[in-house]
Amino acid sequence: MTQENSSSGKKRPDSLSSVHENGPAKARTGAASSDSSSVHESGPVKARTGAASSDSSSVHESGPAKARTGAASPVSFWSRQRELTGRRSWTLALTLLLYAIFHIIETVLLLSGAMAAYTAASEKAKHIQNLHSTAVSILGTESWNWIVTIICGLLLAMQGFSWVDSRQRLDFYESQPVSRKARFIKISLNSLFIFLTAYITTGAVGMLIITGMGAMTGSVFASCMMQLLRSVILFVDIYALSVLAVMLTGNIIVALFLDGAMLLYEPLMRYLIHDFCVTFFRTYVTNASYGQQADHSPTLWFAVKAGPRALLMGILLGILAMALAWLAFRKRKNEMAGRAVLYKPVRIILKIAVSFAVAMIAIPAVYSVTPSTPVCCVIAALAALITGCIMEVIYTFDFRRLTMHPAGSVAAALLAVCVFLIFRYDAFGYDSWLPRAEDTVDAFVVYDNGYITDRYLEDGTDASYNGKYEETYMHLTDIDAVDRLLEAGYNWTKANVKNESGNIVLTAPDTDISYQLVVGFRMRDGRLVTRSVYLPDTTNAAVMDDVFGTDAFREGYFPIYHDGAIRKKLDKIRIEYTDGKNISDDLPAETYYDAFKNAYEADLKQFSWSFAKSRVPVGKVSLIFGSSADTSSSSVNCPVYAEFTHSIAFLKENGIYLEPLDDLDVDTAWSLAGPFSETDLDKEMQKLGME
Amino acid sequence: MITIDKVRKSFGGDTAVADLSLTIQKGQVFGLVGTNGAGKSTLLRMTAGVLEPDSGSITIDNLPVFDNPAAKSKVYFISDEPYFFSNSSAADMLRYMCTAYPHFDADRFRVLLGDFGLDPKRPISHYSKGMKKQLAVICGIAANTDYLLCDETFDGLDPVMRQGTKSLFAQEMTGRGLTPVIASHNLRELEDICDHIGLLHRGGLLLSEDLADMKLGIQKVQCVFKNEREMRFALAGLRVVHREDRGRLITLIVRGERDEIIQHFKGVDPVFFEILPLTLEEIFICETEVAGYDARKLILG
Repeated sequence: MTQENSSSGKKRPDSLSSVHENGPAKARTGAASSDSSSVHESGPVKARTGAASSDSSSVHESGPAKARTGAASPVSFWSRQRELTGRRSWTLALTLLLYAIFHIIETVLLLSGAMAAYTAASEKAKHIQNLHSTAVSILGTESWNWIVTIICGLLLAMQGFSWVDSRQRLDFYESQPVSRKARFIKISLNSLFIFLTAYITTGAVGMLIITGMGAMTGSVFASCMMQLLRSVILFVDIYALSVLAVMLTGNIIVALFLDGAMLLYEPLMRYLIHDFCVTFFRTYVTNASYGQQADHSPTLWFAVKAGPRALLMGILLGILAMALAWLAFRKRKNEMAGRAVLYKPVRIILKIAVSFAVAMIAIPAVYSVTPSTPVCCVIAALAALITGCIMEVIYTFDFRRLTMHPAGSVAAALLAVCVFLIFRYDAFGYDSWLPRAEDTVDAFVVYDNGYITDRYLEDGTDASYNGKYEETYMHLTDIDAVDRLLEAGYNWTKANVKNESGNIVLTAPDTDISYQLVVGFRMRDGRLVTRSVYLPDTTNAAVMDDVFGTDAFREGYFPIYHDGAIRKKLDKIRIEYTDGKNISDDLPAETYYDAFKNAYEADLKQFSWSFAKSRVPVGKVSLIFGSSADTSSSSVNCPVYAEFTHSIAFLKENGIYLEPLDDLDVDTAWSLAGPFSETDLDKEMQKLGME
Repeated sequence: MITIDKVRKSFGGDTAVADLSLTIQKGQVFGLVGTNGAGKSTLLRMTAGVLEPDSGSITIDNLPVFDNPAAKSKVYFISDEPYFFSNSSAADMLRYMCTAYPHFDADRFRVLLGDFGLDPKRPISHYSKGMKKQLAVICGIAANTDYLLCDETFDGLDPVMRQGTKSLFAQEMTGRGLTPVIASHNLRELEDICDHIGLLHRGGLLLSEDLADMKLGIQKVQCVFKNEREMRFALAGLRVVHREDRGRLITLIVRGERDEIIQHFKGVDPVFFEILPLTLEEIFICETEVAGYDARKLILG
């Protein structure tokens, strides 16, 4: 028996017609009921071809299959976000917890400690300063909460898009009536909401605690807001790069690996290049304070806390990374789930990059143990090849494919060996580089030999030991003169200085006196290029004086010229004079400083290398910050030579001049040491066997 | 109507679906059958919009399906391994489904849950495989879509549940015109529910026919003749597709309408003849042998 199926004109087999005659067979797992429409009584649907029950009550009991009528009820954006947040509640809880530790618990602990640090009434200013700086270190721009921000960015990206790696979940999500674009935006916005909710709620509580403990000021608040802005940018950067890593890979482990490579490759390369320079070049300046900052890597950027330019770079990086992540998501085919790295170009680039990096790490490590070029070449090549094999195993999850696609490993090995040889033999002339005057704005020279004085930038920043004073205020415009000086330094350094795996060793006899200089060039393209050289005291005087005898050198070397920090504290500064053994009475700087400065600057015009080399100062004027009881006070020291008539006249006029000592022993001479003068002192000390 | 037009899909060097064209009419129960690796799941996943064809097109009611919410709102896909959120219950899934599917019927969901004896608050991770399949079916029914794609959905269900599910489908078809598309490698399973069958093999479509048409035009006859001469005379007028002799008992599968065959045998005076019902399996074996395939290997694995 068949029934006409009016919709298709075809005859429907008996099986389904019997269903319609009987009413639906209701599924029951328990005992069969006496209802003739029950499954157990009716048996398989097909068997009921005759005895039809007209009982259709079961249809109504189970509820009719309702035809879809009317418009669908729209689901709001916020409903979807709430639903998604509910499913991601553990990530929200974890993010809240991590930020609560930094923003609330740390606030209470550190501020409590700060409150107890300075309790004396006389230390109130220090106490307030301490509270403010502590507050800034918790929620402001000195905070370490960037660690949590990076973790959250990684976690939310990996967790939010982990479904693209699972066939089962892809079937579930991608078959739903939601566009890929809408899903991508929904997940990304939800991640941002989770981060912002955790950061802002815990941050607000932290700020309330800071306010309650009396540590909040306008500048502290501004610092907190700046850190919030930086944290948002950092979060977006890390999140976008992590999503990109997920989209380029097919499982979470490889995604984490690629993410780590993307985030850390640039700072790793910077470090390795630095390490290579330290290991192989004689003139590399190891002090990283000269203009170096990481502008590109979000992790290193936050670690070194760079300025507005890095902030802008971070925004641009976030936009670019998010665009790439979206593009990768769009292009990604769902059947790729489960593969290690989805795209062949990415596989190739990643293999070469990682193999190269491992080889580069191996080279200085091996060279420090065995400074043999052939050995390092072999080790570098092996490191690259082995790493390439491991990468192949990771790509395919098959150990037997260890040796597939060797070209990438070989390329990485060759590249690493090339780089090593370039550094090893200074193929590009690092240790002999001289800039052209037309490419250079100006230069500075840092020379620190034991002329002991504190130096401050105009804003009060201590610049005593890191060359910052010279870098800020010295502008030598005769580049040819600086080049001649540098070239003399290169020649002597090449002959008398060895780099033993990063240790600079002077090979010249001990009787040879040399000066260590750092020369910095401010280039027209914005770079700051530095070199460290040794110059002997036998260098041609003209070469030396062409640099050290200039106004530009003096103004960038002696702290008296840029005295903003001194002037801010004139009421607390004392002027005193010493002959090396005796100390005069002091004069208040507030009254006498300007007169001294004018006299001293007039005397300094005769200063040059030739002048200072052959003389020992007869005394020293010290501008001391603090009372005589304060033994740790800082001081700006001004050596006074016998030829400094203006300064001596000032001292005599104001009754603090002390006659030079007749018998100047070496210790006393050392205490009066001015620039360049210790070379003769060194010789004296050598004679006395005191070196 | 679901229109699949010259669709091709490859994974690496392997072609899963090769230039396949198929039409699934609204209101029919479409069975997609084939051995493991025939391309059933791939085809269903492309129809559900999970995979994008390498070439060709798939439209649902004239709407291209891939990354098209309007088309996807007409179809619900029950995969062979249904996914549920970890640590979720049926009630949690209901909440999600209401946001994902615009016409999701929460009341129907709850009623069906009760009918199938599933606890809405029990963690789904504690369900058996069969219970998870039941829940997947309930979600599919309650989604109120026009088409329901089922990938080996009946596997894992006990016979009672299988019958219950079939009845549910029938109810939905009558009530709101649901069009189920059921993929299985079990012909016997599909026989009692499907209107139209498509047989896939190595990514291609061997057959696509209405079941009724198939059964109308082909009959199974068992007969005995007095002698050889009469047998030859009787068979001469028949379009025999398959013949099997067991002693004097001859089993034939012949093309033709039932009445036509009866009339023919009445005219040749056999000792005995009987027209028997053909199973789907027997029809396929015959049809595919004609096509040159050893269908027993295809169907029986």
